Amino acid sequence: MQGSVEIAAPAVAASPGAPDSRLAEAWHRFAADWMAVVGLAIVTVVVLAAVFAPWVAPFDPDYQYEGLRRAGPGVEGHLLGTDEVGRDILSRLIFGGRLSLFVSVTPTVIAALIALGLGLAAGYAGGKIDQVIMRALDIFFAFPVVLLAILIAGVLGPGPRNQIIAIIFILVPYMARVVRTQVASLRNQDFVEAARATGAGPGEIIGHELLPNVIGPLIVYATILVGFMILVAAGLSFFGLGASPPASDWGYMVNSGKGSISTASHVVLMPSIMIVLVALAFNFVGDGLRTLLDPHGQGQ
Amino acid sequence: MGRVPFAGRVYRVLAGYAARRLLGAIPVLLGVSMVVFLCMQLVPGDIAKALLGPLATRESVEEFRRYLGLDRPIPEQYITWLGRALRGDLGLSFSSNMPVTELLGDRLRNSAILLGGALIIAIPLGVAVGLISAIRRETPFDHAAMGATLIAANIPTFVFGLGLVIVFAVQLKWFPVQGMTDLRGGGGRLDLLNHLVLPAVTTAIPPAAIIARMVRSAMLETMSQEYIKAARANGLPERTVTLSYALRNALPPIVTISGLQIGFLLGGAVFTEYIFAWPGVGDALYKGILARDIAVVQGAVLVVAVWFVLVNLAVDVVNLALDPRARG
Repeated sequence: MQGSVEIAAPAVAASPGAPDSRLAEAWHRFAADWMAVVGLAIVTVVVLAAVFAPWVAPFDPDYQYEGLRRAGPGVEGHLLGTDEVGRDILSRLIFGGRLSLFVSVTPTVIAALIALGLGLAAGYAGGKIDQVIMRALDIFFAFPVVLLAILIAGVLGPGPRNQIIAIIFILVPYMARVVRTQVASLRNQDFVEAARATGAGPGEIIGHELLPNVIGPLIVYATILVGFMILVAAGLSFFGLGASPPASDWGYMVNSGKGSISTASHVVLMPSIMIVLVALAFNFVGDGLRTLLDPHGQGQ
Repeated sequence: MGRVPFAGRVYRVLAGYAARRLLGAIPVLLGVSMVVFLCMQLVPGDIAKALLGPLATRESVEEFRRYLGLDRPIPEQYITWLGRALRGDLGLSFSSNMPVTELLGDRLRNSAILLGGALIIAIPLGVAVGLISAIRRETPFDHAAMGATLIAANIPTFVFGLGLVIVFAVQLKWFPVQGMTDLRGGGGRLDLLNHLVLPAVTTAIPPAAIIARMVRSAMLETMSQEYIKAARANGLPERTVTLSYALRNALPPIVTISGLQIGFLLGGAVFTEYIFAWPGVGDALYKGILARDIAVVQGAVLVVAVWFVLVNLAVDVVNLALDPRARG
């Protein structure tokens, strides 16, 4: 029961100093899952590196070191080597992380907000409104996800902005469905009924009773989806639908290194590893959060 | 024996169900066509100009605008477009100067070859790994398999494909780097097969990993049921319990999951075809995007999406044949 999280809260909150101890207890349970902790560590490092890129990156990401093309890892201080035109790969990964994270996290957050609105409306109102919203979203399930993203970005034209729009489109149906299912199962539960009996209007019921119970599962789902969207965004960039030079993200780095695959595979390998690592890390964090919110589902 | 009439009845039920599902697929297909059509409204600027390409003259753009009916309301435009699409007219590709349908024709066959190869690998591999993991749960095999499938499910197709190229084509030289046939003296079945291995494996592995994980959890779920305990308590051999009892009942979810993975496979194949220069629909899609040839992009996505809907339909019917409970 996802709903039990919020219902149980007041009982715990009754003891003094409760918010701190609740947080501590939650952290304790999260920390027991070593995969989640490793995931969180990776996400933290990558996000910090991206934010402070100019201070963290050892070299200028765009400077082309003459005579150092496709240098292997470790050569002349280039920890991960250089790419096909002699640029430092590590620095490019750090700066590229800004764009890669931006085009995966932003659409997920925006899509979550849209889905929250649609899902709450459909789940709370029920009846015709529910039917219309959900049937319209159902159509999107008939597409392979990546293909729909390629269609939208392909029609709009390349660039990070359109990449973000395409990802929002593919996410909203999935997220809205999760919110709606959650709301529909909560709508007739006792605590909502009780609020209604005390004279709470729809706004109050949605804001005070439904929203707090929906937001947790949605955040978990969004975290897992960010991992998946890192892959989708990288795929779009790889396909030439994302960043265009001189700007570059991880997916684009893989594509531009494709030409030197037979002579210097590390040019392709480094950004590839980065994509997989960060996608996995978000997945682990999401799984850890899910166990936190749904202790009964443990072992799944 | 009474067996034949029973089989005949099952067959009739299935045929009826298939027909009903086919009818039910029509609104879905209409929805898909609507989404593909409406995406064209996202084209920045003049659609007619975008479809004809940068070299079109002002007069031809004007004429094309009338042909598409751009001055009429959107629902009317959609019906005109749908009517043409149903007759196999998906417009003209300006970059290759040929009808989109003609351009996609051969490529559809090539994509089908790739997908067939990938399916033959993905489903048996995924089901086998999932089954063994479930039967030997919490053993080193299970842990290794679940770790590997977790990583494999998170590797984008293009990364995995490039990895395979590096190892098996560039370093070991076991398979060709790209293409579908050898330009010199190629073309035989063996040559095709040789070219097919890496692309098929690339497309197959991520879905296979997801299938394996789902099969494992579906099997564990069934194996915890009471009737399995009862079968064990009755002293049935473990092999009979797992294979005849548990697997048979876990089969419907397994088929559903495998069916869903075909969508994943179709999306992945787009990247595979680009990496391996496999002349399929995905490769056409990539070239269409590069040239901003919107008609090709639209046509390719429409064809693949329709394919996806039909595959899901087939999966439903297969499931019905396997699971009498779903026949209703």
